[in-house]
Amino acid sequence: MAIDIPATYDRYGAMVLRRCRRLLGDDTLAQDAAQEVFVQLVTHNDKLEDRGLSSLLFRMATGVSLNRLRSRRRHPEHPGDALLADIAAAEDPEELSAARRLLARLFDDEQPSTRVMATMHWVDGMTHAEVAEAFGMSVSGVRKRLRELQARVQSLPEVSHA
Amino acid sequence: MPEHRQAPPPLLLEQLHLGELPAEQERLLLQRYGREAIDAALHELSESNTMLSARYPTQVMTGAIEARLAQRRATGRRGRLRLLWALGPALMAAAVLLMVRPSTPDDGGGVSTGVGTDPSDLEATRIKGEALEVRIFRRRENPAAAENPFIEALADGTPVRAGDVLQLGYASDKPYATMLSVDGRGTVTLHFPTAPERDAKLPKHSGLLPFAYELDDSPHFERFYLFAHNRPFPVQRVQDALQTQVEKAGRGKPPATPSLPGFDVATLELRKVKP
Repeated sequence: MAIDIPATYDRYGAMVLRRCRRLLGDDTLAQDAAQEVFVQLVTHNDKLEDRGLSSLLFRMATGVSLNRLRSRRRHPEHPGDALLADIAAAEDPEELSAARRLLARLFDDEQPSTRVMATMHWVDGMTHAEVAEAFGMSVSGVRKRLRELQARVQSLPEVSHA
Repeated sequence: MPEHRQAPPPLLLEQLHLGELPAEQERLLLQRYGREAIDAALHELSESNTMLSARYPTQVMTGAIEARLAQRRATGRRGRLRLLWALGPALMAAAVLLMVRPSTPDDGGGVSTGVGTDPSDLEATRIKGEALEVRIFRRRENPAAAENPFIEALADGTPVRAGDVLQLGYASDKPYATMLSVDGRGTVTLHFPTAPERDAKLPKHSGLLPFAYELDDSPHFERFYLFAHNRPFPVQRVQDALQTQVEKAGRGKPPATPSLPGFDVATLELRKVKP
């Protein structure tokens, strides 16, 4: 599946920028992260999902932004986002510091990023079912991943069964 | 999940806005939040899209994306210059204003970022100067006010350091051009167009490239070339000619400017110094 960069950016660019701005709280960092998302999209175009790109790009924007938060040791600037900082900084067997490994996981249905899931669930307020739909995996799988992360990060809220 | 959701999840709203939300999820979303709240959120997204499109034009962003891709594909050049975001509308506007009257290292250098400058001035400003010119601007942090970066136009021979952030620009009275650079390690980097196979048509007679660079620690010099022509030309031919001169000059020495029939050439050399 070939990527038409201008057409893809025209359609999804605002969504990606908005997501990166929201998580990073900095226009310049967000612009850089958004460009990186599209570079990675093109680089991995042989593994793209054969459906709308919104879910994939949103996950990628979340993952790249979380990596930026971690690597720059920078905290989100929006009030009440301590949770996001916790998620970004959490020790996790899925080491996401390397972009290639992140993308490998994002594109691999068996190992989606727990960190991105956690952000979508705890920060964005998505249900397990909604997160599962976005990742194309089972609700029980999402719940299990989040419980495992929660066990490693004591401050994360209780995982409900919703 | 959180028990009390204040706002609809952003991904679901984005998908609804894009027409990519599955029907069942759309139904549940409307049921949970109500039509009025969803319509208001969609309206906010539309307004946000308008703002973001104006602030980050597709042409600028895709140019930067393609440049990053080109740099990564060229493994030999990878890591030499780190591509950064474009300087941003206010700083770009300040750089354009400097293009009207470039400063020199002797005249004090910095000009304020032009906070409050209307980015639309980028298009409205008429650029005057040499017919063919490499223009380079450096983002410089103001030690007196760290949040207020400065932009300075660099002249031939200006000392630069690893970590300096450079914005490249050009002026040309010919419609086709390519911009390349050579560093003290003899590495040739293509700056415009973003790949040798791409069209060398300049978008206008003068302007800025849609991205900035962070210099690496290569020693001695960074020399920039602008080759301009009246007709389309294969960029690879120019790149190869420059590479040949690099090999003739030897490591650590600036190469001679290739003589290519029909081309006008401008150069600008920056002197690398240790931090």
